[in-house]
Amino acid sequence: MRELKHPHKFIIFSGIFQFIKNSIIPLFIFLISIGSKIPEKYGGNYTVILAIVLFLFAIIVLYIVKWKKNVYGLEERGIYIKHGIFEMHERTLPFSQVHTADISSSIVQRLFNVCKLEMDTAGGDGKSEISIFLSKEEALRVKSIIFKGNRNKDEDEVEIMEEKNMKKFTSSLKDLFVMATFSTRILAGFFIITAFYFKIDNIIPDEVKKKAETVTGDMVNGINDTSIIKYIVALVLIMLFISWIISVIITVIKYYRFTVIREEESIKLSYGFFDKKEVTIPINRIQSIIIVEGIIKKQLGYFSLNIETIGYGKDKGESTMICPIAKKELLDKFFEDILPEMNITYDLVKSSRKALKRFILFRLLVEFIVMSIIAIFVPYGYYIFLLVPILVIWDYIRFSDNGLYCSDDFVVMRYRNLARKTVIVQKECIQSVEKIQNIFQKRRAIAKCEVIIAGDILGKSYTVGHMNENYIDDIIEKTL
Amino acid sequence: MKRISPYSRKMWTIDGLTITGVFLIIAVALNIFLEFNALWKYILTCSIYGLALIILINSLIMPKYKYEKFRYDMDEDKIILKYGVFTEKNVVIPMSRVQYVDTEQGIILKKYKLINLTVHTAGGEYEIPYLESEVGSNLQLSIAKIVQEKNI
Repeated sequence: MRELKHPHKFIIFSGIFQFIKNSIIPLFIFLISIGSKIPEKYGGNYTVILAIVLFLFAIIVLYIVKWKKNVYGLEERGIYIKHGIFEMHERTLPFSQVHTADISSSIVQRLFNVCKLEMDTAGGDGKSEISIFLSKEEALRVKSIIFKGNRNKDEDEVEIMEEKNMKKFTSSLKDLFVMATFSTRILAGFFIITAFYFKIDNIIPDEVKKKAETVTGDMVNGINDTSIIKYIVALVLIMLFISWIISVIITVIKYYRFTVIREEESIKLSYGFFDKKEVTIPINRIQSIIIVEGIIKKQLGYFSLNIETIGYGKDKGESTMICPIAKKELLDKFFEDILPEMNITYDLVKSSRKALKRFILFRLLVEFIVMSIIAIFVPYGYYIFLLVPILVIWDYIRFSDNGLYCSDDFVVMRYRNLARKTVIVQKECIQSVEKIQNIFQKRRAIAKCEVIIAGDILGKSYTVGHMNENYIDDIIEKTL
Repeated sequence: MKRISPYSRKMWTIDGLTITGVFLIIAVALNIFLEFNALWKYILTCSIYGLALIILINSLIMPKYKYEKFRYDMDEDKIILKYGVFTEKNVVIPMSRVQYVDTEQGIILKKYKLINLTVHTAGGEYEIPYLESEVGSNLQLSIAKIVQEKNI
């Protein structure tokens, strides 16, 4: 017997609010351009106000009807949803196909005790297959039903296991501070602020500028060459400071109380200050784990952890961060508690030394051409050749970071673009393996190894270069 | 390791010539409609002519080597592809990851009784071009059969 329910009434308010938010600017422009054209004797401005009121009324009625027509119901094997005003859409989603179910609520939604429940399946476009507003208790109930239906086990057993396996991991506020301090967002923020600073000249009206000039004019007259440098340095520092504060605020708001909970078959993430997000990722959807070690962060012993999943709705095409930042010891504990499946020891095989000289020479050749062009066309451009030793050292670091390991169940790859990444891939997730070598490398039995795993739209690939050919053949042999 | 059809040389040449033609048309159009009063216009037009020339030479010389280098093979566990003239690629696709296999045949391919075969995995797709029609469809059938058996 199907039991149909309406979603929470909050959807009416949120719909109207969304609509107004999206249409207020075009509406305003439209009214301004129309309003003055209506002659006074036909009511003039009253017509405009009447039109707005009527319009709003129509919108409200529309959204109420929409809410009335929108129903959902839980069946034995799937969730059923029906919506639409003029065109009715019906959809039944079997529980077994639901990959992730996210519950999120913004600060306003929390006041009304409402959550947004989004369900995703593997295929499809960027949008969630089903997204409905429910009261918090209802959302949790629906979610538990979905994932219970997903597991074909005795309920008692599951419950006992859950209590036992409540492994938790929370990142502290201090960690978030560190994360914000070394995130690349600071630089981005810096450039935005700088751009804004130079743009401000054009934005400010002339009168204000003149007033400001009379005030600062005296100061500027007193400034000579050395203090101009001081002035610029101070300016840069101030901008960096501002962007640091912004970065800290954004990071803390976004990742506040980042908690990871391991459940029987899935990991649960929850984070956010205003927008509380909850994400459930089934373990068997995880395709790969990436340990990221940033250049500066690594010196302080910090790591972060990303995972690659398929069918995860929120950031399609982007990897999901399951641990924003942690010290090394914590990371080990994290692996033990939350992801015991992936907790493996590995002994990486390094790139073959035979390739080193050629690799650096070849890189230098390319870099040299680029630098020459800069040196010719940019005044004082030849100073760029000072970068050569730095580049050589950098290439050497990159080269010696390369590593590859293969056991019976896992392939571990380590490489460095800017941050050093260590990728752990389960054997079952590997879609194909490529061995790539050019004619020079072939003579020395050196090759590049590329492992491709499944992704949402395109597959993801990880590449490690300059490895011994035989070892890659080994991996290929073992993956089959 | 098996080879693809020897006609592939001709096909690659035809492909190359078509692209050359397109580039030549663009270059000639630019030549006619652009007024040559700035340096960048010269550079643009000349580089498109140059590109067309390079593709022409490429399409005349390379197909032979491409054909020599392209090998494929399959058995119960895997599909192996080997190709590339300067950079040799060696692809191994485990049979259990193959999702489905496509074949396609255009007008020119039909005339020479050739077929293009594409293997799809969740991570991407790989093409085995220019197989003889019967070989191609047999390959498709046998891969499909193995995949089906593996999944049961």
